Amino acid sequence: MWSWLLHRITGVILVVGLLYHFILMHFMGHDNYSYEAVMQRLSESSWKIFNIVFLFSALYHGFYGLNGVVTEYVRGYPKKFLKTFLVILPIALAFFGVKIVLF
Amino acid sequence: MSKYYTFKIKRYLPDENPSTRWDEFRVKLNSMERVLDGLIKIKETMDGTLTFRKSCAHGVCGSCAMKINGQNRLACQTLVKDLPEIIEIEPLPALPVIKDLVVDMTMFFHKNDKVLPYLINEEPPPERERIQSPEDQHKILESITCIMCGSCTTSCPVFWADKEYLGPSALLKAYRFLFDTRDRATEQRLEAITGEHGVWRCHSIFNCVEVCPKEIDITKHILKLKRLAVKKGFTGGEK
Repeated sequence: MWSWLLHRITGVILVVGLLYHFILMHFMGHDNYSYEAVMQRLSESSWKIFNIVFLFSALYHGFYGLNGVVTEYVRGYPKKFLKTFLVILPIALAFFGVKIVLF
Repeated sequence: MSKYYTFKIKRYLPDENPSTRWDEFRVKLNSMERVLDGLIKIKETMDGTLTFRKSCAHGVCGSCAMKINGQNRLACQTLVKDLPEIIEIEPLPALPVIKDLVVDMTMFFHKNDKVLPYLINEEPPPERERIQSPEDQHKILESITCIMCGSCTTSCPVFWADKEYLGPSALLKAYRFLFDTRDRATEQRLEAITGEHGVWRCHSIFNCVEVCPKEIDITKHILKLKRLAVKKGFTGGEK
């Protein structure tokens, strides 16, 4: 139940986050994308927090969905293997993602 | 006004041939006759080996659910005048076929058993009866009209892929008792439907709603079950 609810919540975060991302990245005028502006943005902690929340939401939402696909469509031994893989992979991706955002 | 219809029926006679084949029958039916009348005519006058289930013939028992022109329907409730001249009939999908249009419903009824499809109330019964107000009855009115024909569950793509999924029919039955104000087994029933292959596997595809011969909005009921499960898990609030 919690996992399902979190899937819904991260879905909402993704919609809002994507809108914000698109507005910021594609409709804010040329000056917004200069070297100085980008470096300034990358050093802000609010930007870092946004990105990490966004990263975790995307990973959770996506991999929960894939987990659902495996639950419904895969049987037998590959099921166990894939389910484990779908837990390990997002953790690894989250690790590298956080590393990129923070450092 | 009578007209000739061609019934193309998917046959499976395991004693004769392990594979399926399509048989065609030309039947003269008047516009007010139903697919079931055509099948009965075929069985009585053309081919006695044709096998299908039928009981009440008035849309109450749910025995004659089958796939007619690509959609699960009750043969007794489908007028031939609403169909094209060629009528294709197959057994319900995703269940093992026993013979011709007869499928093995064991799996279907087993799912139904899992949601404890009976009133559970340990409290001593009152002198006359457990009273239900018209308002309370209204909450479950739609779900009560289910005749368990199996059209919904066998039309659900999640069930096609995941045979362990409870399916719309069993979940609707769970709703019928969970939202019955006389029932006391809320926790037990929620436990039964919130497993990995339970209510969360519904992806709101609406196939069940489309085919239901009783026009029950099954998906809406399943979503209410999800909401109830979340609410109970969070606050343990009233139903």
